[in-house]
Amino acid sequence: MRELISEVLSWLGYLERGSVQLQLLLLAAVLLGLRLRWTRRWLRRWPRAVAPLLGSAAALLLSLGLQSRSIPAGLLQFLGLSWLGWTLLDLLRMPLLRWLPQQRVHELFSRIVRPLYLLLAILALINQLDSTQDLAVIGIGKLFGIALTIGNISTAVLVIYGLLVASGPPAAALAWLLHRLIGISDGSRKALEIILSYTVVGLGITAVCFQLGLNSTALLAIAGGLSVGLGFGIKEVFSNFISGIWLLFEGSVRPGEVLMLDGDSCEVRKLGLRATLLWRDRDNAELLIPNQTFFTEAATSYTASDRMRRSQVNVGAAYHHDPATVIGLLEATALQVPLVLKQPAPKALLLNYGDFAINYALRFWIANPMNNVAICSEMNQAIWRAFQEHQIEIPFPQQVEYAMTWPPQAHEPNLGNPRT
Amino acid sequence: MVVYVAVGLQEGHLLDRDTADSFANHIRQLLHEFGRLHPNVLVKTSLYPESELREQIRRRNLSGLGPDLILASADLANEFLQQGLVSAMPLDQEERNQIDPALLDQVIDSDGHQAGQPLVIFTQLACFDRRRVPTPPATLKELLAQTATGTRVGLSLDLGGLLWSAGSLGGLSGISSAARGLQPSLEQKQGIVRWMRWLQEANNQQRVTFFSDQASLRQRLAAGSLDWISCQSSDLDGLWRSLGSHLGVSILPDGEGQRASPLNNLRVLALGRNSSRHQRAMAIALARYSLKPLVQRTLTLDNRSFLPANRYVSVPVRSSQILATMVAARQQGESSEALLSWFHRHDPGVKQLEAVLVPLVFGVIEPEAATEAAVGILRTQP
Repeated sequence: MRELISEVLSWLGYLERGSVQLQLLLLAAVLLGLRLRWTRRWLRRWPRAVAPLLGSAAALLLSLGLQSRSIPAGLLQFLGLSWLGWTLLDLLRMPLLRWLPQQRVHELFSRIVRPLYLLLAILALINQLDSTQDLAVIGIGKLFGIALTIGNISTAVLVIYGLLVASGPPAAALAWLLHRLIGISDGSRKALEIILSYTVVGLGITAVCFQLGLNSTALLAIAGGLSVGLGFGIKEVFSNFISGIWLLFEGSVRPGEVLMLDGDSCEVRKLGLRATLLWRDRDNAELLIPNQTFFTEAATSYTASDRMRRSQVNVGAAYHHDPATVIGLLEATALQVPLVLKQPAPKALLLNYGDFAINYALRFWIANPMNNVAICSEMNQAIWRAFQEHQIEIPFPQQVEYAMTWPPQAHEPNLGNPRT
Repeated sequence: MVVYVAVGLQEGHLLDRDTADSFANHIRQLLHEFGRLHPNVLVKTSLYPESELREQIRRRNLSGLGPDLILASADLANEFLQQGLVSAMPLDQEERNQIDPALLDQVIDSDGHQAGQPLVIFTQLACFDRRRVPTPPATLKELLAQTATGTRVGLSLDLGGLLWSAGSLGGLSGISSAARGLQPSLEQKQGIVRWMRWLQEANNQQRVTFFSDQASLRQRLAAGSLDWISCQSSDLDGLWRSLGSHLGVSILPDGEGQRASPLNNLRVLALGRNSSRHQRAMAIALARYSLKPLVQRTLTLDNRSFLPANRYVSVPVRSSQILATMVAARQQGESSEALLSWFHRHDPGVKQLEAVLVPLVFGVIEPEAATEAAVGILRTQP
């Protein structure tokens, strides 16, 4: 590693050269010029697609100027072109957004396009300063007797990153094909997709290890170390990983499912390998719940076999109203509320005789469990309006307070000034 | 201050960790001593495959990031000077006196500009496994006789790896004439035919195998699947690591009355074009320092894989059999020095000649037809 640092520091020696200083100063001048208020005002006059290109264009024009005077300008030209390429990448996003969802485009750029461009640009810059092949053979240590060099470590990291990023789409395609061919469930398809993706990554990592020169004994030693790690340090991670795969296969926790969590209904947004992302409607919160939780604890689902939910509101009516009238009115009211299913039909029940009212329950079915709170609110309002209309009283408890005399034997009930 | 040195790796050498370590060992002492004289100067070397050196220097020069010194073969340095990729090396009379005039002539252009300063000479030799070849063959006849008794011989199919045998069979003068644009005499042509016939016969031997490049020969000798190969002295380091004291080195086999014509490779230091004033001064100082007799002697004795360019350095041939062999190989190769520069100037021509040699070796075309084709190619090169 010391060798590498020394190599990198030695590049500073180029700054001694007048032509290098000039090229860097011109680039710095362009960058500073773009910060000036006057320049920013001037840039606003240009079309939005063109304005970002002007900085790099200025750098390229300056490099041509230097070239015409036989002054080396390749560095400025290279930096200008790299800058131009970077800006054009941004412009490339716009047409892609027409064809792909924003999330996909964002992932494509942040995970593949931009890192790849940056890597190639850095390699090309290093190639201007030094011999990349020579740098690649710099040793950085030994692992199981294998000499590791910058080149083989960088290649290994790149291949693994490439596998992690790029194994998704082919795995998804293969899982989709199997889904269509042999009719596996949607949950199993997703599970298969993840398993295929991680199998490819696992095989890739093994191949990279062999490419580095690690033999099977060394790989077994690493596997042994990982086993100990799994037993102690990363047991939870592994447990969540296996739980995630299992849940996917089982299909009980899938994106779109509605589960009850701490009394709130939550929609499953994404089933990751470590945790499940849930969305809670009440406060628009996104909750990351370790997969193990669903695997080991009981969970209530409204969507396991169908997406309907039977909901209920409670209401009290005064004793002097005929229960049959109230029950009929409640059931008729429920049918008027939008989003309440006609079938199964709403059902009103007399629950019990309370202290100051007869308590009724109105049970009804809704199609989307996530709408429960809103529909219950609608239902309660509709009941209030229907009771008003039919002069059905919703009684409330009344309290009568008396001033007490002491001793209690002297107290005469109902003689004081009542206060409610 | 940093002085950047670009080093072209000789053909047949892969740029890997071993090569980088081997090169670092070669020059460690030189740079260490130079660093003591100039403590504020860091000499930074970068290795490039020689086939890529031209393009890399051109690109780096355009950016102002070109190296201050370039270590390459003499002919590549000539080409660089011709293309304006390097500056002429200023050598005063005293320095010229120290260098063998024949070496200086290899790096001087028609205007008298010095393309580079000769540094060391790598020689072409025969390398063998002592366990299998107790006595190296002195002639081509002995070489084929030894194959009959079990010695496994490896020869390279590239022109640079085969041409030594042209000298042994009397084909060199005809090739040299044709390379100068002249029509070879009948006798000279017969010499070329003799060489080509020998190549065909060699391939008919059960234990003679032709390989596409020098690296394959080296790897197979190191692995024990070959017993005798033609090699470069730059291969010795790697072969020593594999074979240790079993590695034997000799000059290439002569013919009946004719000497072999090994292609010895002169390595020179050329000046880059982008250096600052201080970097240029220090690059010249480093080049001059590397020519000092003491430095050249130390380099030669420490590495034992090349000969010094300074003619006043006495090579201890009595104490080192390898050095003695290299000195003999250098004398053997004096006749082919002119051809060496032709090869470097005519890359396409070399490829065309190899395209004739391959079918010849495998018996697809006759030696006479191959000779006519080779002479035609040599004569039509500009």
